[in-house]
Amino acid sequence: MWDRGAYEKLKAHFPEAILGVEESRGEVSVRVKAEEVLKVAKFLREDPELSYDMLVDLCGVDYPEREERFEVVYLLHSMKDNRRLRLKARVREGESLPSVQEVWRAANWLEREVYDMFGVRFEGHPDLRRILTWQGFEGHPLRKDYPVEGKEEGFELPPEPPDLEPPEWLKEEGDGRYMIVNMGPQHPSTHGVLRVILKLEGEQIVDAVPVLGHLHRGVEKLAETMSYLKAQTLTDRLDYTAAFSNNLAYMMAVEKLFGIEPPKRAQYIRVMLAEFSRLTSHLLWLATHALDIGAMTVFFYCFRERETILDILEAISGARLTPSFLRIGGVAKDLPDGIEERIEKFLDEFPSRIAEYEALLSKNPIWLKRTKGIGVLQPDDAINCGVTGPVLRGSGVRWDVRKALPYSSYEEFEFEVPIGERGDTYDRYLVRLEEMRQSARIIRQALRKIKDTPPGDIVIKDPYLSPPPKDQVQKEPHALLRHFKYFSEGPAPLPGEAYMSVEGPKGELGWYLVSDGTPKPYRFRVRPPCFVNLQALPLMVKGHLVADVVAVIGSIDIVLGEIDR
Amino acid sequence: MGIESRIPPGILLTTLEGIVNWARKNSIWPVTFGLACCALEMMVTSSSALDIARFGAEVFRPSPRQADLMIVAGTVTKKMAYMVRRIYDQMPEPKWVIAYGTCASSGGIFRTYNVVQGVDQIVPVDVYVPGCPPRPEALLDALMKLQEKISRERFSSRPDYVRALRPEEIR
Repeated sequence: MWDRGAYEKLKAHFPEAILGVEESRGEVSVRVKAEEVLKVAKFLREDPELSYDMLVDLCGVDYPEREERFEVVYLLHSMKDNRRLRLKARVREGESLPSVQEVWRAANWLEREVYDMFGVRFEGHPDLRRILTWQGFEGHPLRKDYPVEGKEEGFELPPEPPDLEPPEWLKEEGDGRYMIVNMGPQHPSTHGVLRVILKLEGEQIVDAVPVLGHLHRGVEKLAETMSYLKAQTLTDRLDYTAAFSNNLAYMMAVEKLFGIEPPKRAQYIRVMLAEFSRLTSHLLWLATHALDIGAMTVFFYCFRERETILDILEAISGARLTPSFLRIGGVAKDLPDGIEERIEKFLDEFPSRIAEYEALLSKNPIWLKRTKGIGVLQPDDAINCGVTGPVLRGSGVRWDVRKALPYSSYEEFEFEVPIGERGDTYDRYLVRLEEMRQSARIIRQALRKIKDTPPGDIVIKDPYLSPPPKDQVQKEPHALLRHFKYFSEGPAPLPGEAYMSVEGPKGELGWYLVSDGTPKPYRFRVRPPCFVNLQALPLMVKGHLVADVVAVIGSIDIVLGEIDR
Repeated sequence: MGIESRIPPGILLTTLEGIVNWARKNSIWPVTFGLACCALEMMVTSSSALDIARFGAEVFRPSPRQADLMIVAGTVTKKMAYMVRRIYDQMPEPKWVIAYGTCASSGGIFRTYNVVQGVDQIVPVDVYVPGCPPRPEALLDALMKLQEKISRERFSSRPDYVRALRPEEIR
């Protein structure tokens, strides 16, 4: 729900600083003078009526033809009544903005990312270093004048690894009391290529500094060269454990740009696939999390069910991991014959499988010792850090995008949102187990709803937004022409911007798309849940032992494809 | 490191090569090393559905010093490239590399500023597997191809082969 009243209130308080209000696709953005951003941010958070307690996203957009070239976009959320508001501030090249890091801690890494990608500096930021590329990297990749392939030809191995030295502020003080230990990026328990620099006193953790970007593939830049439909293939490869959720969030943002809504049957199919991908993601999380802590059997159990799901998904979409199954205004194909029985059979078996995992872990003394009381995250800290998803709910905040800002007909489904009490690793484990049960429940309802809708009604009938049917293409010249134009160029939305988010398996997964009226996105911004959630890692591991870092990283459930993008 | 560095010249090696290669190809230990999406499919090969243990390659070692095979599963970025090479260097001979997936083979769809266009720019690759991601069965196929390659290997063609000096060469 977008906040239309906030502008009046802000304008009354800061007549100088508030420059105007814009609305695009029903989304409200308030334009703020760059120097006054911090003051306005403080007011927005502290005013009891507004109470914007969470910074969802912060990103930059580059407009090289404007004098004030860079636009920094803040997306705010109020937990109280699920209001959203966007702030925009423009700066010239070389100018800086005040950092809002002291208001919302979530801004810390997000501002570093804007600095890294656009070269906009943030005044008062405690640690403004490059984050996705490395210190010494030349240029700012997301600027429009930076080439996608990079500036240098070929590749040569550097003489030493990038970002070898830990940051200066970590090294100070101690007289040999502290030791700095490097963990990753090649470490079996960091779930990919995460690197964490640990500052230790004996076995105890004093501080932890994640180093990101070892899987930074330049997805946001690359998508700017692709049509809206083709860019979907990149979304598969962000959170590759749950590609359907990514497809869904992205495609909904595209549909919002075009101002269309898919037919009900397509919406239900999307819900079902999104919940299946939540299951695959949670199963993978449980398998690897348990493996990290030393429980090997769970790995084999979880992969058994995961394979069953992947087989079902393959029967529906034709791919196991990277389906790219959605189309603008619907889905690519209707469900194949006989899939209902397979899904029903799986749903009948699945609760007993979860019971098996629980039998292995929930009362296992080793598991309890390793997870109970480890990595506690207080609810206030979680909201301030922008944490979403099971990690937020594990801390006892009952917030879920599916309930708070329903999309794709989720309001028609019945399900519970489980929460934890203490906010430790064990609670996050319980929350995810319960979420799996609820997902199975949603899939069953979706299957029933799909049966009630007419078969074949899976995509909107719009000659501009969808390609002509294949049999026409092979017979009629004008259909062939339209097919060619559709896939070589693609449809173009009107200029404007849109943000849509889903409750992904890891948290709020959103897309912020800016269109300039061409068939390619002008800005393709992913709101990555893992990136923001991981920021809470230092808070969660301080004072614990080295071995607990593994448990905590596992319980945040990160995937590097999405963190580094 | 391997046996080839200790063999004196002149004796008939074929039988010994056959035995050593047979042992080597049936106990390829991969290093636990996943980069991106393809790593998930690599994990599936070790699960019960496909069971990589049938090929003697189920012993995934977190330390490169105990491994024979590096499965490069995922995109190699410029930030990660140094570490990939370091892991390869830390593995003892004999060692092999599978480039699993299009990204590892050629950079794949990611022709961008931070992606190395193929891991063969950093380390020598024995088997390339296409696909984005390839099915786990494709990894097993690659493993079998590698086994074939190993069974044909000659000591003298291995990079760590050190030919012992003949008596007349010693002064």
